[in-house]
Amino acid sequence: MKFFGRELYERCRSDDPAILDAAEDEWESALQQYEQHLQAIEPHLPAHLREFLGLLLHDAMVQSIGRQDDRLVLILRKDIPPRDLIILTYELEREPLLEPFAPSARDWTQPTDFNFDEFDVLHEDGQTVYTQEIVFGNGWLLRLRFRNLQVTRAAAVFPLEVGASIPNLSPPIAQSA
Amino acid sequence: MIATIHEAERASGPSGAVLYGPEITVDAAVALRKTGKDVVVRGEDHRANRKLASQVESAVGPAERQDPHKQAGPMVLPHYQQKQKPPEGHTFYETNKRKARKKS
Repeated sequence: MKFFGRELYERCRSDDPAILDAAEDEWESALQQYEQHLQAIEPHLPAHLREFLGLLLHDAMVQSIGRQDDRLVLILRKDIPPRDLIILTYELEREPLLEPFAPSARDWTQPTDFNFDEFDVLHEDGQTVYTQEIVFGNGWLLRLRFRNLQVTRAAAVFPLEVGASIPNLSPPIAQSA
Repeated sequence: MIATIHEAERASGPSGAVLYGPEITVDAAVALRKTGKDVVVRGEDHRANRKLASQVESAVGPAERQDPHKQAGPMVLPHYQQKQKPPEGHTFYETNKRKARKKS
């Protein structure tokens, strides 16, 4: 992680108010620098990746992670209404790496969610390669290096929303935002 | 100005903004959080807001802080939430730079 490193992440969880004050300021600076980084690379990205960067995945529940040949599939359910399913299919350029990020990283037997990430684009030997490093709510880091990414959005009909008794299979009403 | 706790909800759309409603007590805030609703701590003293937000969320269960990020929208507030959900939801707090908006 270039912007939101382990050491800063740990200080942002300090119980010492003075350490936390400084860490919060530093995080704001890192966030500003990361947004400038994205603004610099976005104009050169294909449209589907620009859309991907605007998905707002914080707190999205991880429904499943799957693997098919050189593809990794990450299925998320967004936390914010209309709580769409987001299916991300990465065409991997290299094997993904999963490692603890937080000192107290929890195990994978419990549900977890998407906390934050860093995205970048690399140009190597005439090839364009993308990277995404995702920190999950359980404190684990997934490092992805991929040639392309397919994004599928779908209205979730099961598990049922509160108040529903059977899945509603009708096409959802289009959302403007 | 002392920190105050308010009912809250997230604005629709991509802003990540937090909308605040009526002021509530600590007990009411904890009760709302136990049902998965959002609350927000407001005030001019960033550190006092953070401390109160931590107290509210920790009364629900083991809690952790999370920072603003692009993936949460440009106007999101830092918050405490449960380490292990449910309940979902957040106890947001205002900082010197990030403020909640009044619910219309």
